[in-house]
Amino acid sequence: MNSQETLKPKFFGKITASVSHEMQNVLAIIKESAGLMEDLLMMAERQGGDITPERLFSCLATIKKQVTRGTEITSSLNSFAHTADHETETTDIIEITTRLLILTDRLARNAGMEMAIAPCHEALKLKTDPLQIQACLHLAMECLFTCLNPGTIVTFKFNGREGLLSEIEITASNKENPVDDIRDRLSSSSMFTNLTDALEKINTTASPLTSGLLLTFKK
Amino acid sequence: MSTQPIKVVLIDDEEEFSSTLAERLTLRGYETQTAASGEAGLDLVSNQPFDIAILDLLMPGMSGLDTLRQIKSLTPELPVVLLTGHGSTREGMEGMRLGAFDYLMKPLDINELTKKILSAVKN
Repeated sequence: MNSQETLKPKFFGKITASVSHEMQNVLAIIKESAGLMEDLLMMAERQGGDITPERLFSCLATIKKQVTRGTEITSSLNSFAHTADHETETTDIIEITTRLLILTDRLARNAGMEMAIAPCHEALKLKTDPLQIQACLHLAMECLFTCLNPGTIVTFKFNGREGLLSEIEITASNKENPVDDIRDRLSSSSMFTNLTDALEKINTTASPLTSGLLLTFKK
Repeated sequence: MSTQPIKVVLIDDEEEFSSTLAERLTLRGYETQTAASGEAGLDLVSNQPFDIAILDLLMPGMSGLDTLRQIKSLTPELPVVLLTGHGSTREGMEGMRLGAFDYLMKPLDINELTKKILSAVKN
């Protein structure tokens, strides 16, 4: 199988591996918080001391926070898994990207990057292969990560007209240091070649920008 | 006769995890400190004496394995127990090849961890 044939299964595997790792962390925090409550209650029972309610409330608040985090991850994973149901579908690009960023949060953090979506005033749709577009967006992120320094914010900005997506600008910014011109590094990387090949399948082109990438969706 | 508490440094970017685990170990008589990155962990290890390091493998910035390599070059005698959220044992085995005492899977069992700490410190 060539790299284009393995793109979707590899992407699926990468997302599920990262998400399951993230869920292990969520469960680990819940387990330690519940364990700490148990420790405190057992100590009070054995030694007859008092536990301040604030101490237990603090553990409960941590558990609730992690349940919310876990729920967000698993519901995003569930919706993501269903994007493989159809080869072509009218897709809400902002919704699909928001979910992708939740699922790839750990991968981005490991690369020292922060991901963001620029405000968009209308829902933008695109009739496409939903799994392929997500694999392409992820590949675009990875492509940029190899050219950027840690501490960079990578922002997705969606452009379109009458509810239809025409372009995605993925740009890098850094509060501390200006981002270098990455065009040459991007266009000479093998990952960029993979990206352009993958985008071709959904009738889309990629062009390097000074500090990012422009994806243009053909009609 | 009083015995010195075992000094543990917990290095994990999941701060709620490490602070809660640190509190549980403190209740069991250990002296604990936490670091939220490999870099911060190395800073602690190079400036203070510890009996053991508990180190997460997957962290932003310096990875767990890179942190382990640096710890082993700074303080070769310091035992390191690795934590992994990976379903496979491959990363843990790689860590042991690099000199880690052992590895444990997340979520942890506190009794298993304390047994591991005692056995590593005795060694």
